[in-house]
Amino acid sequence: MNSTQPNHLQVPLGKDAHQKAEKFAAEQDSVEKGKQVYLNTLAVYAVDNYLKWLDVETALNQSDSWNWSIRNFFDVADLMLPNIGKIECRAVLPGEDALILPQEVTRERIGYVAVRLKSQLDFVEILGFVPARAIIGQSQVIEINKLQSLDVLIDTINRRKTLVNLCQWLEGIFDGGWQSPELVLAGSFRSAATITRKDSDSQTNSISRAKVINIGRQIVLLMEFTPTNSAVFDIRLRVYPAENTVHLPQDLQLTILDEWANACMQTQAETANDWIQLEFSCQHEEKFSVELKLGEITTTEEFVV
Amino acid sequence: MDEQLQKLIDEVCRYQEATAERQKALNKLLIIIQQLPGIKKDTHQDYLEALNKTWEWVCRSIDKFKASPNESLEDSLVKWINGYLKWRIKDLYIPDSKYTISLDREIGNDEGSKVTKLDILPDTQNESNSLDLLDRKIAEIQKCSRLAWGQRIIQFIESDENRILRRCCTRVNAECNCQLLAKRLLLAKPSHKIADIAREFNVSNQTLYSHWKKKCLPLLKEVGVKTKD
Repeated sequence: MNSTQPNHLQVPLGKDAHQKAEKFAAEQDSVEKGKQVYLNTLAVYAVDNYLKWLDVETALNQSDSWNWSIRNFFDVADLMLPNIGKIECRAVLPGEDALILPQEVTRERIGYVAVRLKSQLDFVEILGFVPARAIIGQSQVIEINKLQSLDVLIDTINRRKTLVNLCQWLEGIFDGGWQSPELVLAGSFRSAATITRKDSDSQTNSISRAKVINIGRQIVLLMEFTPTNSAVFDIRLRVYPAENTVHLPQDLQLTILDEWANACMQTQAETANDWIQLEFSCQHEEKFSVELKLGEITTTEEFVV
Repeated sequence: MDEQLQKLIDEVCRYQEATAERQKALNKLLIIIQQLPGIKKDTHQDYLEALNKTWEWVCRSIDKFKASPNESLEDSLVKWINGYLKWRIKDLYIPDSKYTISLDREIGNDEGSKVTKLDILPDTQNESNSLDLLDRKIAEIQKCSRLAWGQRIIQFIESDENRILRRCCTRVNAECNCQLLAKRLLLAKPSHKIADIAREFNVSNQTLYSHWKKKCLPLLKEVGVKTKD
């Protein structure tokens, strides 16, 4: 075996795949649209199978690509992963070196999987993955050589699976390394008392938890979660230095992203900042993620309210 | 190769199911084993489906794989995978054996020499499923689908089981309903003229025309959408 050759995982396209694609293509009014639907169906089928091999739950019936009234009007090849989100499976034809994302698939996706079709349509190769946040606001063309590995897809899926349920905090259920601030900051230079000191206007029913995060340097992420009288929850996020240091590393970036990876708020540590913070409100069941970036290293924590 | 395979299998088995670590290791392992030259190939039309099932099984069952001490790990693994694949292909022959004829069965031809069914069949799988011929195939299936849909609509109009079409009639004449108009104006060849139908049922031209346009056509359109699936 030639190990220098880039190898990709192959998914066979059996008769069942083609039967589905034929059925969906037959409903279309033109050959051109029929072909688009046919290839989209094969791409979704292949990724669906691949994820089944890996024991990832999928729901074709909750996907727009499997919905007659949506695929007729839009160029969609999405696959729903329950409780995780949608991934878009784009077909790449032999000889093509980029995938072009139609307008309608640039929203509500956690990322894009590129699927190379063979000219005999008997196998596809799963080429790679791009998380949605990597392309937001950028060009809707993804070059094949810019694709990231499938490990990134696997990490994205599993990270979203382990999202932190903030409402469980109200019931006293904490997991994923979220501990009481006093405990996390016990050995810290800063005393826990100063950190968790309530502002005069702060609500008494708020819950604070902290977690140590390693992004080359150790930092502490403090989350204060406050139910209000309405269906809205107030959230305050603070980042403190850990390891007995006084200041945050310069250029440390804190970003809040919505469910579809659009950046909503951002702040950045400047020289000699003791802490940085972002405050916002969320609806019940809203999902968001917190991204911390220092130089080349990025880590993300996912939450649901 | 054996060393690499053993390392990857160990890595997969080290982690619990549905964990990111196991999934990543499976990814690497599959890429290698899919390319092992010994994996069985078959010309059966359902081979690719069987192969698909086989990879799923490999991912689930790799923990149970035990290499034979008498041969290389690679040979042992290939034999283990082929053992399953062979049975999946056999399965696919059985369920609809009424319709599936074994392509490898020898049949005599006029000259008395033995050929298999496969030898005399056109290579349909490859012919219809290739990118180059996809346009033609899609044009064909769309045509068939439209024909079938057309047939369903004609049947619907003629039977009108729930009397939906017959209930949609002009106020002046119950006979002059959507079913009759659809039969005369759409199904009849050549189609009748509205003026002739108006005269026959003693309805004004204008009444009939507006009934057809405002009531019947939207109703038929609705029926058409419903019959599509």
